[in-house]
Amino acid sequence: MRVAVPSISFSQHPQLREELLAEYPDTKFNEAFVRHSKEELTEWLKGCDAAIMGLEPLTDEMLSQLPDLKVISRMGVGVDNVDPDLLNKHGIRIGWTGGTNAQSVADLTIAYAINGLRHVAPLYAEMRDGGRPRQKMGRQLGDRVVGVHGCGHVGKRVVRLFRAFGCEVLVNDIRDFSDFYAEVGATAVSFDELIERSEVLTIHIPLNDRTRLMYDAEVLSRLRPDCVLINIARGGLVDEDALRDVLLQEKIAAACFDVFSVEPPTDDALLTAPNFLCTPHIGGSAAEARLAMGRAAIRGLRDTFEPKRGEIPFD
Amino acid sequence: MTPQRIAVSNRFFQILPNVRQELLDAYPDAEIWFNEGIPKFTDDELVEFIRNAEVAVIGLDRFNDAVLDRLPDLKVITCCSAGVDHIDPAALNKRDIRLGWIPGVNKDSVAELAISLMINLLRKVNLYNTGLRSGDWPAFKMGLQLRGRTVGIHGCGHIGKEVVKLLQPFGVTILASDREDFSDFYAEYGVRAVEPEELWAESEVLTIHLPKNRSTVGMYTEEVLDRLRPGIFLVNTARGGIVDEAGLQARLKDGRIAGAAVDVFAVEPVENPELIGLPNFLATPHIGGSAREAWEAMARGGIRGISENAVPQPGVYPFD
Repeated sequence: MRVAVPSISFSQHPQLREELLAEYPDTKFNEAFVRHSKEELTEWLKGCDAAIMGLEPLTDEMLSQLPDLKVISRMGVGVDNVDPDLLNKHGIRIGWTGGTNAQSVADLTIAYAINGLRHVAPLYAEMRDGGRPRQKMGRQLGDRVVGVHGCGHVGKRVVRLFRAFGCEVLVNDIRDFSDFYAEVGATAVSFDELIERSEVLTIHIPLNDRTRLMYDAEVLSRLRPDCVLINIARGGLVDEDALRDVLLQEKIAAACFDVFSVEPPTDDALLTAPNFLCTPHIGGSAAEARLAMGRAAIRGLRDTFEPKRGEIPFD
Repeated sequence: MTPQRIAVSNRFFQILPNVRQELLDAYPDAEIWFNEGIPKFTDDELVEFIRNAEVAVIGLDRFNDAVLDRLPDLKVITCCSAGVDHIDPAALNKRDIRLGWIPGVNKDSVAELAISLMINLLRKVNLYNTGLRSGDWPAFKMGLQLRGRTVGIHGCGHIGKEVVKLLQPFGVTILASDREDFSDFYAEYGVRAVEPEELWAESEVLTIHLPKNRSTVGMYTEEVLDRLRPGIFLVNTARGGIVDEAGLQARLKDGRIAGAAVDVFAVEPVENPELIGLPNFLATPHIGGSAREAWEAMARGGIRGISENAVPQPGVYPFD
C-alpha cells in the first residue's frame, strides 16, 4: 500500500516515522512541515492508496482527482474537517480512534483553570515587559463550581481531575452518563444552568453543525462575571468577536483558549487582551499523546470502517 | 491576657471586610486600629503606627532592636504570613515579646499554583503564549505529559503534603525529601522518602517547598544545580535565597535545566530582565499565597495568634 502523510505532527515525529515505514515502506511524508494548498495536496496525493491526515480539508473536487485513495486515517481525534458523506461517495474508508489525547488535554485544562483564576499569564507578561506587578488576589480552584461541557473521552478525564481537586463539578452532555456522574460525584445540569452557575467553564464538545458558534454573544453575556472560560476543544464553537468584546469590557474574569476558528488567528486585540491566555493548538501536543495518536493513525490504515453520518465519530 | 490595644499593620484586614469584622468581633472591648494605606513602613512610621499597642497584627514588617526599643508596651506580635523569615527571634526573645504564628494556612493556594506551574513548564505554555501574542504560530510544537514522570518534592511540610495530595490523580511517581519522618503519610499517598542527593538525581520535575532558614538559605548552590537530573523542570514557590539565581540562569541557557518556574526571588521585586526573558523561564510575582481563601486563612491565623503565642527561641523551630 502506498501511503502519504500530509499530517505535520506525524511527519515531525522520528519514532512514528520509523514505525510507519516498518509496516509500509512505500510511504512519503510532509517534509516541508507546512500546510499545502488544496491543489498542491491533491497533486501530492495522486497515486497513493492511503493518507494519514491531520487538519487538512478534503473536498469533492480534490477526491474526484484521487481515484486511488481508498483509506483516510486520522492523526488526531477531531473529525470536524471530515465529511462522512463525501468519503462515502468516493468509496473511502476511515481509520479513527478516540481518546488518544484525552489526558494531554485534561492536564492542560487543569493548568489553565489555575492560570486563569490566579492571573498567571498577565502577571508573567507584565514581568517580561519590565513591569513590577504587585500581587494580585486570585481564587483557589478547590473552592470553585466547575462546569464541564461535553463528557466524552476528554470530558470524563477533566471531570475526574476537577473532582480530585475538590471542586463541585456540573456536567452537560447530550448523552446520558448517569453511572459515571454517580461514580465521580458530578451533577448533570442543563446547558443554561451550566453557563449561569460555572465559575470555571471548560468546553469539551466536538465542532459540528449543531455546536458551531454555540457560544455566541448572548450565551457569553449570561456567564458569571467571575467566570474563567476555557476552550481547548475547537475554534468555531465560540464567537471570537463577541469573546474579544467580553474580555476587553471585563464582563468575565478570564479566558484560556488553545483553539481558534481560523488557525493561525489574526485578531491581535483578542490575542493581547490582558485577561486572555492563548496558545497555538498545543492541547494534544504532549509527546506521549503525539505518539499515541500516531500509533492509532498507523493502526487506522488497517482497521478501517465505513464512515456514516450519525455514527461515531460523526454526529 | 485580654489586650486593650491592638495595632493591625497587615493589609488583609483592609482588603477583606469579612476578616476585619471577625477581628472586631473577637475583641469587642479592645481599641483596634488598622493600616489604611501604607504598603511598607519605615522604622519611624512603624513605631508611630504601633505606638502603645500591646498586640501588633503584622504583615512583613520588620521589628528590629531599634524599633522595639521604642515600643515598650508591645507584648505580642502575630503573623499573618506563611513564613517567619522576616522575624528576628533574638530581638523578641530578649524582650519577652511573644510571637503568634499559625503555619501552613496558605497551603492549598501554593500547592495549586505549583501544580499549574509544573504543567506550564512541561507543556511550554509560557513560551507558546508569549509567541502567539506576537503572532507566532510555530510549525513545531512539542511538550511533555505529567503522567508517568518522577516528581520530587523537597520539603514535605504543610505545603509539600498538599502538593502530594494534588498530584495523586496525575499518575506520577512521587519522591520526597524532608528532615522529618513522615512515613505514615508517605505510605498512605504512595510517596518514596529519599535523601536530597537521590531527589536531585532522579526527579524529572522538582518542586521546592522548604522554609527559608539557616539550614536552607543558599542550599541550591551551583554544585547542587549540577547534580540535578539533566533536562529537569524546577519549580520554586517557596522562598528566594534558596536557589542560586545566577547558577540557575546559566543552566537554563545551556539547557541542563530544561525549564524553571519561580515565584520567589532573593530580592523582590525582582530585577533580572535577562532571566525573566529566557524562553524556558516562567516568573510570577510572589503570588503563591495570593488566593483570596489563603489571605483569609492567613488573616485568621493572625487573629488566632493573639491568644496562641509563645516567646520565640533562636535555633528552635521555626528559627533553625
